[in-house]
Amino acid sequence: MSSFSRSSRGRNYKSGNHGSSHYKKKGLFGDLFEGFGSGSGRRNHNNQNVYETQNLPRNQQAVTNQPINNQNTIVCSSCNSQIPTGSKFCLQCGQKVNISPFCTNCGEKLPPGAKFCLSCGTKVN
Amino acid sequence: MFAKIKTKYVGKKISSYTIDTLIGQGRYGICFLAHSDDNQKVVLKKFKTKMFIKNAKKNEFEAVILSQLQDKRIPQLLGVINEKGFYGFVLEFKYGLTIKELLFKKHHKFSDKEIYEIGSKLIGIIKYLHHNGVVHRDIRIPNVLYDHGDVTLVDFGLARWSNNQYPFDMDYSYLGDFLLYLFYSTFESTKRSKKKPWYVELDLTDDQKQFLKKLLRLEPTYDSIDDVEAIFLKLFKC
Repeated sequence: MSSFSRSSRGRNYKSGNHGSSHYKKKGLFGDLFEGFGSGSGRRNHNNQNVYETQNLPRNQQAVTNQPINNQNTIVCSSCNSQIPTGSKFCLQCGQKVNISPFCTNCGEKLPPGAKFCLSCGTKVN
Repeated sequence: MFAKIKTKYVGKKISSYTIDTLIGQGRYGICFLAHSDDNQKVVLKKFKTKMFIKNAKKNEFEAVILSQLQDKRIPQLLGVINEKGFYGFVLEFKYGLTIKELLFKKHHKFSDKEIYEIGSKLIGIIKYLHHNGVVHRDIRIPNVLYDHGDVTLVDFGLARWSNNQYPFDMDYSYLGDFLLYLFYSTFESTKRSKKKPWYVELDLTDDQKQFLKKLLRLEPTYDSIDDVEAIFLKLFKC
């Protein structure tokens, strides 16, 4: 929900040099952002740390579950809007999307990663 | 401002939910506590129209990421509402007070045991997110709920699928900052200590300080959340 990306400017990290004058206070805006929380006003610390430009850790290359950008989006059966891949709901009309896999032959719900339908044995594509 | 919003929305029925109270507001919208017809408590996160249009593409991330995650330690996305000028998400209500409320309203002083418990549980949540490719980017004291030993992480408005632009170590930095708030709950500040950084003021072991410095990138950071977890459990166990 941030209005612009700060990472390219290295501002997505907390300053590491604060002391009690920072941690014993609520922050500049007090309760203004409490409970909702994007809180962009207070998260914009410009980190001056030496290691900001170090190489990325190894696990940052291994990303799972991420929808493929060019994957076909689903079209909502209710309002015909495009639904982003992976969303449980149409973001226009709120229509629920059935994202659980099912057998195209008998309609039986399939467990995650199933290669065959447990009910009728049909191969899952 | 709060009073105006309260008058406008509290008691009003939106879709199948009745708004009970205003929880909070930010730059992007307003959060309400509401209940469904079958009396289930939910949170309605209403987006401000201008901000929603401006960030339409980015707003999808929260919905898609929450749709993909299924864990009792984070709120579920229960629905999307778009009616009568009200656009928002329906989110599972989670019990507990935020760490910010505990610190600054209840003036709670966190014991070493509590810090270990909260820290290890929060790292467990971050581990779940990172293993699913998600970086939260907003692990702050108002976004962590604590309820009788249970820890919940909320507000996925800034969450993204991790990549070179959104590396996982963003969350380490926020975790380090979060933990320092807990440590400072028992710190009595004096006028003379005002300008000193945490690693001078706090009574921590050298290893504990190094751990926090690595999270905050004052020293080369950790490779993975699994490493962060292993070191935290070793250094802070009471």
